[in-house]
Amino acid sequence: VHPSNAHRAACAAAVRAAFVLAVGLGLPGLLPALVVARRSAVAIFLAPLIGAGMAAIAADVELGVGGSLLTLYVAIAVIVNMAAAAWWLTVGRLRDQPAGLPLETSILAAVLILAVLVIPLSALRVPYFGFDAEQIDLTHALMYFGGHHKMVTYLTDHAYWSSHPDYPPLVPAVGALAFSIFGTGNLRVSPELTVLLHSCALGVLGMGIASVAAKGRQLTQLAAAVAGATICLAGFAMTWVNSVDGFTDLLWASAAASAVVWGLVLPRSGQALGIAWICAVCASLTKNEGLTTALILFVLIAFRYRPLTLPEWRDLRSRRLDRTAVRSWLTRAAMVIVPALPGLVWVGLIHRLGLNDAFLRSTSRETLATRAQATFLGMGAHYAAILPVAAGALIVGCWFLRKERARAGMANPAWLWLAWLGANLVIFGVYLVGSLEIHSWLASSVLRTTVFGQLVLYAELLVWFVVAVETAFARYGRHEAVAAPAVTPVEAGQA
Amino acid sequence: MHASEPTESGAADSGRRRARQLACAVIAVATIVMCGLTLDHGIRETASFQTSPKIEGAARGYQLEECTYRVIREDVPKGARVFVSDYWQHDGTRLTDLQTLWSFPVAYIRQAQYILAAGRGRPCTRQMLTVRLVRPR
Repeated sequence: VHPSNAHRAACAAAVRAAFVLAVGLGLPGLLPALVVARRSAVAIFLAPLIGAGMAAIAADVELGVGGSLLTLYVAIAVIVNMAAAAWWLTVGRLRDQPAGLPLETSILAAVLILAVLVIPLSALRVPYFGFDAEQIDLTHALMYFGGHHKMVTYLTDHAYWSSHPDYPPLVPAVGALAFSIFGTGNLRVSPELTVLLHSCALGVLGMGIASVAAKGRQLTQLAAAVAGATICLAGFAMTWVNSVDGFTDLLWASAAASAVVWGLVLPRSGQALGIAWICAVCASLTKNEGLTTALILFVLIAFRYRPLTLPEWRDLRSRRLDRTAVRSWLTRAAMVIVPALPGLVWVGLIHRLGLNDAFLRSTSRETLATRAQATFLGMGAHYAAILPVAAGALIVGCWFLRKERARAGMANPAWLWLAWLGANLVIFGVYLVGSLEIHSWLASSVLRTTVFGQLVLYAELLVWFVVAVETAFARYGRHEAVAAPAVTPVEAGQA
Repeated sequence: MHASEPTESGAADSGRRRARQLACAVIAVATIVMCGLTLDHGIRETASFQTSPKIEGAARGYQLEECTYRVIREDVPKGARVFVSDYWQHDGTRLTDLQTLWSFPVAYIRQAQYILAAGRGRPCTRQMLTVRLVRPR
């Protein structure tokens, strides 16, 4: 068989994957995306992610209740679209206009992001097929495609235990959906869909960075759009070949980083909260570390949108909660539990089948000190360049530009750094108590487990960059405004 | 004393403004350098994935996947219980994964109707990696 045949198969798979992304995922997710994003081009990137999330929830139902993935997906898509339409007609359209980018600028940012994404996506013509993409995601996609009975039979088959049957269902569910549409004739559709979903999640992240300049001048908005496009390319650059061979790490990392930017950086609004939740739900349904990170994000977002007041804190310490305080705590709890539900339901179902995370089945013979040192060095190597630069930008920015940042309505940078720290501590802890030999485990995975942290630090750097550009332009604009009356005294006299 | 106050305040304002300008410049330069290096690395990397040897290597790997998938469906009876020998080799896991939805891999040879192994048998690629189907004794 000539390699050009495989090359042709890869190109055919890319076309099919693009069709599934646009029609199979994008179309059912479009109305909910428009309801959440309102007049913003971020809906282009958000719609396929909503579709993928619905496919993952369909897989939850397939495993827990029964039925076939396609039927369940259609049913869930109809319910979600009807709920979105009903909500829009009753409450949504009455809301204030979202404080995002103006429509024209948001379209410009989306076009710029789509244009730069062509560079990494050009690698889709090469038929890369990563080990995890085949052993985990393709295998699970075939299981889900077979319906409830086969899904349960194969997932619980001891022969498949090395393929991590406990992994969350988003990517295999999307692959199974593609097989439902095109059949299993071209297996590459599954990894290529994963790569296209990376682009969507990175697109939402890029649009988030572009939205930092929503209240800024046109030049700042242009700079922010370029910054948004930059982080999309940086995401692909971080994961080397793993970004284009179907590994799912870039997907959960970029979805979670999008949730950080929309939920913990941008000004508080219903639009930003909705987008942050959708992205975090997608991260929680993509990988186990995505679920733990999403849980941290849900808690932080809940406390940012429902801040803990000093009287509330005093009442809590003295155990005297009045009705308002109880309502406030219930709201916070709902803001964590409701979006976390799809991911937690999957964990519950998998545990009911007796499946556990392969990394935590036994304890290691290495000492905790050995594992901690190796993990610290392994993870630190991937932060060696970006962490000092982002921390430097934070210090310089907080010292000189914090008022400008606050004036733009953006959150305190502590939220973003708490999210980064929390996610990294969990990953560090898993390496510490996991069962695999630490050095080989780190060698095969730390590049991928630190992508979320790196993306968040790049986001922090780019946010300060946009604030710095706006501050520089504002000063330039003010000088012009001050100078203007001096050069037109005649007009001033006439007035 | 009073006359000098506005001048001092003006000088302080000017100093603060200059410091802020410097801060903006520092952040902008750091961002541009950091992102520039990352993008340069990313673009070089994307190009390196698409060289002829890489394309041929990836194509061979993919052909192996497709061929194994096809041969299993041609040679193994549907629904058979199959034991994969040399499971812990990459080919072993591939043989298990690619029979999903067709036959049922079993963990112990005594449960198997067939044995599937990489070795002599049906040619799959130019590398002569093959799939062998053997009835258990």
